[in-house]
Amino acid sequence: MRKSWVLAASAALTFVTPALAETFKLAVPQRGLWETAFVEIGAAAGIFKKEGIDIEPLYTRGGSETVQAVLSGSVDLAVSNGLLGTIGAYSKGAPLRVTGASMTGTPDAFWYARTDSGIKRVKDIAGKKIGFSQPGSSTHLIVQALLDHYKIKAEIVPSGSPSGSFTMTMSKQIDLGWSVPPFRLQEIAEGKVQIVMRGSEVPSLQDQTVRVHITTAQTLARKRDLMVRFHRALAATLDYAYSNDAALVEYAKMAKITPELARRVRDEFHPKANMQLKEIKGLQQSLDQALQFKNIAKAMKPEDVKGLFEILIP
Amino acid sequence: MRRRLPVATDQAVSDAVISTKPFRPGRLPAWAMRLLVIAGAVGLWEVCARIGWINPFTAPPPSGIWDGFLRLLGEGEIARALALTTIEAFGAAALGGVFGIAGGYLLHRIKLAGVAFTSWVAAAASAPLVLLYPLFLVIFGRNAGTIIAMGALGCMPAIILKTKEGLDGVRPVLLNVGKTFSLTARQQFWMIQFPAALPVIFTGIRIGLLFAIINVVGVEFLIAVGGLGYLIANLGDRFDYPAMYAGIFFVVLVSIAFFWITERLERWLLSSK
Repeated sequence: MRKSWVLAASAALTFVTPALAETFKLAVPQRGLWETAFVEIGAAAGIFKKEGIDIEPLYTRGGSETVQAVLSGSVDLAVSNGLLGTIGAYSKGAPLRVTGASMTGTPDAFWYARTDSGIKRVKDIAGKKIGFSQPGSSTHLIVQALLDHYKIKAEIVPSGSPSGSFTMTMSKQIDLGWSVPPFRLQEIAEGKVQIVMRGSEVPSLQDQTVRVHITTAQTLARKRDLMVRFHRALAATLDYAYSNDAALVEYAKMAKITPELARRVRDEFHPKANMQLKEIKGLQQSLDQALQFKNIAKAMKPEDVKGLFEILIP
Repeated sequence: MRRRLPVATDQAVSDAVISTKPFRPGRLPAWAMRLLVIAGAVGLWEVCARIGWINPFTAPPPSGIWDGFLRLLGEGEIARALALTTIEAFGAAALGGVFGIAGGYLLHRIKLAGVAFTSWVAAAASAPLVLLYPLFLVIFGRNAGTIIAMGALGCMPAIILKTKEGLDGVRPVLLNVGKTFSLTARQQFWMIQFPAALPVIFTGIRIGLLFAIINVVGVEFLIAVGGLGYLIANLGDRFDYPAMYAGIFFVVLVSIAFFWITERLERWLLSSK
């Protein structure tokens, strides 16, 4: 009798399968940035697991490479993608959807000079060579806005990635290099370079969403529930990252920096208000800039891109 | 009455043969075969993109690519980019030619060096030297200097190897003729050896020019500076895929044109000798 109960229980247990997390493929540009670290922070804290999501990240170099990963179906969603490029792709018929904001304003970008260059303040940059990543990029936009804001004439030079810009600065090919944290913070702490100006100094850009999360219309229709759960977890991760020092420890480990530098990255360069996820701010300004940088062929109004936005943040 | 049989004239025989001979593709002229294959591929692509079998956004139909090309032509972008790339490619080939011919001569002249380093040069020809671009960015900066230097580096191995081959392959009888006329080593080289090696050296320069174009366009793409390579990268960043593909096909056509022109030039040089 006892043996038959055991056999019956074993047979019943074979039909009970544990709830498996759903895999969510994510394109993450520029690994090491605070803005794109939420995915790993949330995964480490188990926030995505609570929503039944298993994150599978694909790290890209950003820009059109990320959008192509989304369009080809290689990933379900791409985080922190430039809004101007997204608008440009949408205007040309790409079936993209913006599901949330990633960065509003430009508090993270900064320009630095060698400490032995004699350039300490903004007024010292007149007539100098200032680097930005490449034509049409957000750093191109920000540096032009900075020069207009301060009414200073200087030569802007494409200098590539933060590491390329650093090389050109230290080899004196340009006078000011650009970067985003955590890159160059160690060199600043060591006194090799110093910050001369920041993206946060341009008032006209601070109320404009510059980076967003994107997916395709087809993926959104097919995996809507998964998408909603992901965005709910993302919002919870944002709150966790700004209220719990364990998030700083996780970020420091990922970015290979000290916890003190991690705190500086978060508190000085990424105020929580700029990381809001729900609202796409300054859309007309973005559309005007998209025309200026030839992302779109003709002037557009927010109603022309209404179909692009489907915010999933609760 | 005897039935009169038709006269087997040449025309009659020819007509009979043509009418009974089965069609074989090998009978098509080569240019017609090429045209047929291209037209078939383009047509298939157009149909597949229009009916959605391939994504029309990432792989636009050929008709859209043609419109993109006309747009680039009308805006003057492609002409400007072509001019810049051509100048850089020829600059790279000239620089690579000077150092390549000198290097090939040294490997020929110093036998030990030839034995020791020829295989290294051959290996360098197949190595992705374009990956050295960060080093060149530090040395030359983010400008045409880096592009030309990298183009020159890419074309040098072919020129070095062909120069050595040309000089090594000069027929001994020609050198003996020089000796009978008591020519000095310098006269021997400039009057007999170098002219005799020139056809092979020119082949090296022709191959080197193609490598220069490939490297120049590739580095332009990587560092977002310059002509056609930068144009293609920029169009891709703007998601203007019809124009981007137009740029890519244009680069291919330019390479084919360069190859054809230099081939004709080589034939003319050889025939005029």
